[in-house]
Amino acid sequence: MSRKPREVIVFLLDVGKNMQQLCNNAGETFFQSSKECLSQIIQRKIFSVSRDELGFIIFGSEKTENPLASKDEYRNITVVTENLQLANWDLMKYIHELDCSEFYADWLDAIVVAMDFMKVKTAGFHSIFHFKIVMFSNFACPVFDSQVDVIIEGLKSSNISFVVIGPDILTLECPPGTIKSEDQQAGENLVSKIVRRADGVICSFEEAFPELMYFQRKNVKPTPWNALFTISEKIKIPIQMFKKVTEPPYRKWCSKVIDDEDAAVIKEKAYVRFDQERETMVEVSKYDVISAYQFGSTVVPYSNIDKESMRYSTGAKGLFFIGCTRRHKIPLHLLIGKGSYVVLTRPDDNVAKEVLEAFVQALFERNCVGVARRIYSNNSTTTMGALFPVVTEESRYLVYAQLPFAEDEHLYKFPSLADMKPTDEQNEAVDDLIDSMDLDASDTEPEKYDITKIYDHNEQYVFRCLGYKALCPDAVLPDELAEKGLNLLKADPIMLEVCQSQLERIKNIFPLEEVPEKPKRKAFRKRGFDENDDDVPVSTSLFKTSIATSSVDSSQDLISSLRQNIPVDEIQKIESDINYIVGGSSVDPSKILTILRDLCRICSNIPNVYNQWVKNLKDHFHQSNNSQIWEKIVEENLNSIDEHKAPEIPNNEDDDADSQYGTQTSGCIDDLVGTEIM
Amino acid sequence: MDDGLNFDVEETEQQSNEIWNTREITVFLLDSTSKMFEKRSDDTIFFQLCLRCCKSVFMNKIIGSSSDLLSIVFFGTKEHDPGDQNPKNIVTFFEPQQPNASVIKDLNKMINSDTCDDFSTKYGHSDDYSLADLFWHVSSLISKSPVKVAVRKIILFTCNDNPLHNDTMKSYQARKKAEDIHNLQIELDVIPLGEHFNGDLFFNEIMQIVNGPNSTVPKGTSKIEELLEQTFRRDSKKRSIANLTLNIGNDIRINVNMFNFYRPLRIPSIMKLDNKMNEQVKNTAQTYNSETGERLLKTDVIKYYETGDKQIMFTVQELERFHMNVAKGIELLGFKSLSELSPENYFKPSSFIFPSEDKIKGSSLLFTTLLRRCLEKQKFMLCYIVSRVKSKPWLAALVPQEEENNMPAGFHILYLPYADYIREIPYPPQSELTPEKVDLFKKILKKISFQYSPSVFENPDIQKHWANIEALALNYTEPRSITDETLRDYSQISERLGGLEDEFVDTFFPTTYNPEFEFEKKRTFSDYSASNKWKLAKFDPEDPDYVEKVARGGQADKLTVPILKEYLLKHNINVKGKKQDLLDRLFESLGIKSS
Repeated sequence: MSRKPREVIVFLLDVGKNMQQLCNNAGETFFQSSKECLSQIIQRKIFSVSRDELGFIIFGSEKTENPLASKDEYRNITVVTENLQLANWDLMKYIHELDCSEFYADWLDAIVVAMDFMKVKTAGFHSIFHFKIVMFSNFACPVFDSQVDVIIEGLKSSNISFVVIGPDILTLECPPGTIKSEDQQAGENLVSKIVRRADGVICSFEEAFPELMYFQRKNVKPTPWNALFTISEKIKIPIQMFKKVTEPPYRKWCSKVIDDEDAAVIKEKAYVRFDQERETMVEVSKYDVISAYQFGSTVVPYSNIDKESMRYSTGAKGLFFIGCTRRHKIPLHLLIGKGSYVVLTRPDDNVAKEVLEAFVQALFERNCVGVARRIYSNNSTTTMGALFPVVTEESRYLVYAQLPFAEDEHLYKFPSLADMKPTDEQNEAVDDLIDSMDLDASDTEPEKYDITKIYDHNEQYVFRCLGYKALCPDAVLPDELAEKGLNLLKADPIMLEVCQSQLERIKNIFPLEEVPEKPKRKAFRKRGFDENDDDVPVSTSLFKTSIATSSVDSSQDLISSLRQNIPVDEIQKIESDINYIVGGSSVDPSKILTILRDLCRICSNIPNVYNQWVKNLKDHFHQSNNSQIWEKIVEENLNSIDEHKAPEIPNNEDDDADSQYGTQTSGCIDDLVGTEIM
Repeated sequence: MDDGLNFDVEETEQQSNEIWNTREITVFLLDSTSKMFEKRSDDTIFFQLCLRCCKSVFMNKIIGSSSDLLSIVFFGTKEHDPGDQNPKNIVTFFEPQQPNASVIKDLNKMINSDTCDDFSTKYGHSDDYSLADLFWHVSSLISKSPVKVAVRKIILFTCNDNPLHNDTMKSYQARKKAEDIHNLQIELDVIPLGEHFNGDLFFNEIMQIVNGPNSTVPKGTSKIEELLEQTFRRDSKKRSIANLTLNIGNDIRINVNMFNFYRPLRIPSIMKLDNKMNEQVKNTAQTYNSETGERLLKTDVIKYYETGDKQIMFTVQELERFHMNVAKGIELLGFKSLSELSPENYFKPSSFIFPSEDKIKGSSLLFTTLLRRCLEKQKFMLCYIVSRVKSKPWLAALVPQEEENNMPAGFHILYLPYADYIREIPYPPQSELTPEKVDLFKKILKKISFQYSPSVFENPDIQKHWANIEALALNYTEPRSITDETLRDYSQISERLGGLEDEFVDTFFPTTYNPEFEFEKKRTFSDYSASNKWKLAKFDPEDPDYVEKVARGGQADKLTVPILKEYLLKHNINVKGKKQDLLDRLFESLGIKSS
C-alpha cells in the first residue's frame, strides 16, 4: 500500500535582528510566529511518529558554527544538529528556548549551508528519500545576490523542494499599516524568484497555521482482511476488506513509582470475596475459582471448556451473500458496530475486480443494498452487514457496515407529534433559518464544517497537554490549553451574526418557557381531600415500607429515625400517603394510624395536624360508605391527640406509649364523631 | 486494562453521578377463575397461553435485561397469601425479583401439564375476587420493590370482559384503585383472551383512568402468536439515556430526551465463583513496588507516555483533567443536505431524540416544526453533542425521521467521524464494464432479492449460548436447537438462478480462473519482492546449515519468523518475542556481532 515517502528536511530559521519586525496586528514578531510554526511542525512529527530525518540550522546567530565558514564568509550561521535526526523533544526544547539575536546574516549563504549539510549528511542515502529545505525569514536584510543562479541550479539538480514560510508577498505592508523597507522588498522579490524557478512553495503564516493546527497520530498502514465472497455455488470472488472509519485506540499509559527511579510497578491480580463473619474482603485462591453464568438470578457453573465445546459453530471464514434489498430498507440509523469498511479486490486479480465492479454497478442501478453474513475467522462469531454500492467518477467499490440482529433492536412507543400544528408564519420562520444557516458548498462559498478537516478536539487537547508537559515538566497545566478547543465547538459566530434576524424571529413567535427545576419525581402521590401538592420527603419511603409490611418493627425504626428531626410539614405529607393506604386496603388501618399518631406526638408541637387530618378522614369515610373502618378507629382510640398530652415524648417502648396516651385521648372522640356517624 | 487510563468509558461515566436508572418492574396478573382453565375446541387452555406469554417475557429478560424485576400474581383463586391481612382470592406466585431457574421450571411444569400442575388443588378457583384489592395488592408489591425502578408496569390477562357484573359499588372501588395506580405512575396493560372480548364493558374505562385518554384494550385473541406479540409490544417502555438541551442560538433552547434504539446485545461476561463457598468473587488488582515489595497507592504512582524518545510524566490527578469539560448538550452548527451523508462515514451506533416539555415548555412545537421543515427541504442539522458530563464532544448529524409503522417521529443522531478516524484507502480506478455484464448481474440480483428487516435475523451465537445455559439451569437433557437465519443454502440459490449462473461463469471467469484457488493461493514474501528472491537464491533452503549460512552472509533479516523459530527450537533457544529478538538470539548463538 502506498505510504507517504520519507523525507530529509533541513529547517532554516532566521534569528537575526530583522526578525523582531512585527508581522501582524496581534503584536507578534516574525520571530515569534516562525518559532511557533516550527515548534508545531516538530511536535506534529513527534506525535505522528514520523520517520523523517531532520536537520536544523539557524542564521543571524551570534556564533558562527558551520563547516563552510571562513573569516569573512558564511558568518553568523550555526548548524544546530550535528547529524540528521528524527523529531525529538531535545530539538523542541532548543527551539523553545531560542531568542532573537542582535546580528544579521546573509540568508542566501544560509541556503548554501543547508544544501551543503544535506548533501554531506545524505551521502549514500536510499533514493526513496525526498529532500526538502524549509526556511523561515522575513528577508529584511541585505544580501549578496551573485550566487542566486548557482543556488537555483543546485536546488534543481539535487531535487530539493524549497519551502518558504512567513512573508506575505501579496502585500507591500508589513506589519499592516507600515510599508516594507526596500531591503525587505528586494529580499522578497529575490526569494520569490528562487521559489518560482526551483518549483518551490512560499506561504504566509496565515496560510501555514491552519494546515499545522492539528496534531496527528501515527499513520496506520491499512491491512486487508482477505476472504472469499460467496454469492452462489459457482459465483465466488476473492475480496479484500479495509477499515475505513474507526476510532483510534486509547493511548497506552505506563506507570512508574514516584521518586524511585529503579523500582517498577508490578501488578498482581487476585480474587477476593466478602467475608460476612469477619466483615472484610478475603482472598480466594485461584484454584478455588470456577466460572459461571447467570440465568436470571440462578448461577450456572460453566467452564471455559464447556463454553468452547458447546458454542455455536459458525463454519469457515468468509463473506456470504444473503440477498439484496431496497436501499430504503436499510436507513443509516440502523447501522451498528465499530465503523465502516471498504470492500475491494486484490490488486493482482483483474477477474475478481471486474466481477466486483459489475456487482457494485448492478446494485447501484437497481437502487439496492446487499446483505451479507461475515465470519471474521474460522468459527468466530457471526456478524451481519450491509453492502452499499459506491460509484464515483474514479472508482467502484462496496462499503460494508454492520447491521443489527433482532436482539439488538429496542424500539419504544412514543406519543405522536401529528397534533403539533405550527402556523404558516412559524413554518416560514424555520424555513428562513434553515436557509440562512446553510453549510453546504455553494457557487460562492466552500462547504463549512467539512468533516475531513475537523480533528478530535479532546485528542488535540491531550496532544497540547503532552507538548506542554514535555517542555515544562514541573508546570501546572494551564487552562488555555482546553479553552483553545472549546471555541471551536460553538456555531460560527460570523454566521450567527448574519442570521440574527431569523433567530430573533424564531424567538418571538415560538413560545418557549423554561420550567423551574422540579425536585425529584414523586414516589407516592396522594389523592382526595388534601390539596397540598408538594414533593415527597425521603422519610416517606421508610414510612411506606413500614406500612406496607405493617410490621411494628419497622415502624419502630421509623419512629426512632423520625425522632431526630422532622419538620412538621413532612408529617403533613406523610399523612396524605396514609389516605391512600387507608382508603379501603386490606392492611389493618389501625396499625397505620398508630404509627402516624405516634409520629405526630413525637414531632408535633401542634397536635392539630393529626387532629385535622382525622377529621378529614372521617368526612372521607362518611362519603365513601366506609364507616366500618372509622368505627374501628374509634374503637382503638386512634382519633385526635389530646392537646395537653401532646408535647410529651414517649420512650422507646411502644407499650408504654400506648397505655399512656391510648386511653387518655378517648375523650375527644365524641367531639369529632358525634352524631355525624350514620 | 485498568492500568491504561481510558477516556470516555464507563468508568468515568459512573463517576459523574449520572447513572440513569433504567430498571423495570413488570407484574403479570393472571386471571385464575375456572373459566380460564376450560379446555377449548383447539385443545388449548387460556391459562396456559398466558403462562407461555409470561415465560417468554421471563426468558427474554434473562437474556436481555437481567436486572429487571418480574412478578406473577394469580387472582380469582380460592386461596390467598398466608397471613390474615392479605387480600382474599389473590396468590402471589412469584414475588418481584429477578427471574431465576426455578420459576422457569415451575412455569414449564404448569405449561406442560393438562391440569396446570394441579392448579385447582393447590390454589382453587373463585369468582369472588375484588379488583380493588387486586390493584391495591399489586401497587403495594411494586412499592415494596427492594431496588429502585424507573419503569413500573402491570400486564393483566383475563377472559372475563365484565368481571364486576355492573356492580356500581365494586366498580367505584376498582376505579378509585385504578386512579391510585395512575398516581403511582404505573402503566397498565390488559391483554384480553377470546375473540369476543368486549373492552367497552369495563376495561377500556380502567385503562383510560390509568394510562390516559387514548388507551384501549386491544382486540381479543386466543392465538399464542398474537398474544405474544401483544405482550411484547407492551413489554418495552421508553428508556431515556440522557436529557439534553438543544441550543439553536440566541438563547433559543429546546429540551429533548435521548434514546438508543440499536445497540448490540452481548453475551454477559463470565462470572467467577468461589468453589467452596459458592459465592461470587471479585477480581482485584494490587500494585507493588518491585524493589521494596511495598503496596503502592494511587498517589505513589506516576503515569507516563513515551513519545519522541521521552517519557512525559503526569500525576494521576493531572490525567483526570484530560477531559475538556465541555458543557452537556447539543449545539446546532447549521444545516446540510441529507445527500451528503454516506455509509462510508458510519462509525458509531445512532441515537434518537424526542422532545420533552418537562424542562422547557414549547419544545415540542419548535422541534416538530424543525423536523417537518428539514424533511421538506431534505436537510439535516449538523451539531456538536456531549451526552454526558466529561464525555467527548462528537460531531453529529440530526436526521429527521417521519412517523412510520414502528418508527416514531423525531431526529436520529448519526455520529460523524473526526478527520483522524478516517483512513486513506487507495481506491483502484474503474474498469471498463459492458452494459451486458451489468445487466447479467442485475438479473442475478433480482433472483436473490428479499425484504430486509432486523427482526428477521436472530443472533445465532447468542441464541446458542442461552440455549446451553438454559439447558444446564433447567436440567434439560440437551439444549434446544436453534435456527440460524443468516445461513443460506447456496445450492438452492444456484437452483433458483438456473442458467444465469453458468452464463455468469462463461462471461466473467476465464477458463483457467478458479476463485477458490485464487483465494487459497499463498502469497509469499518473494512474490512481492523479486529482488529479495534473487538475493536469497544463492542459499539452498534444503541445506541443513541454511539458516547459519544466510545469517553469516548478512541476510538474516530476510529469513522468515517460522524458519527462525524452527532453527532456534532445534537449538533449544527461547522463541518468544518479536523477530528482532529472535534475530538477536540467533546472532548470539552463532557468535555474530549484530549490526
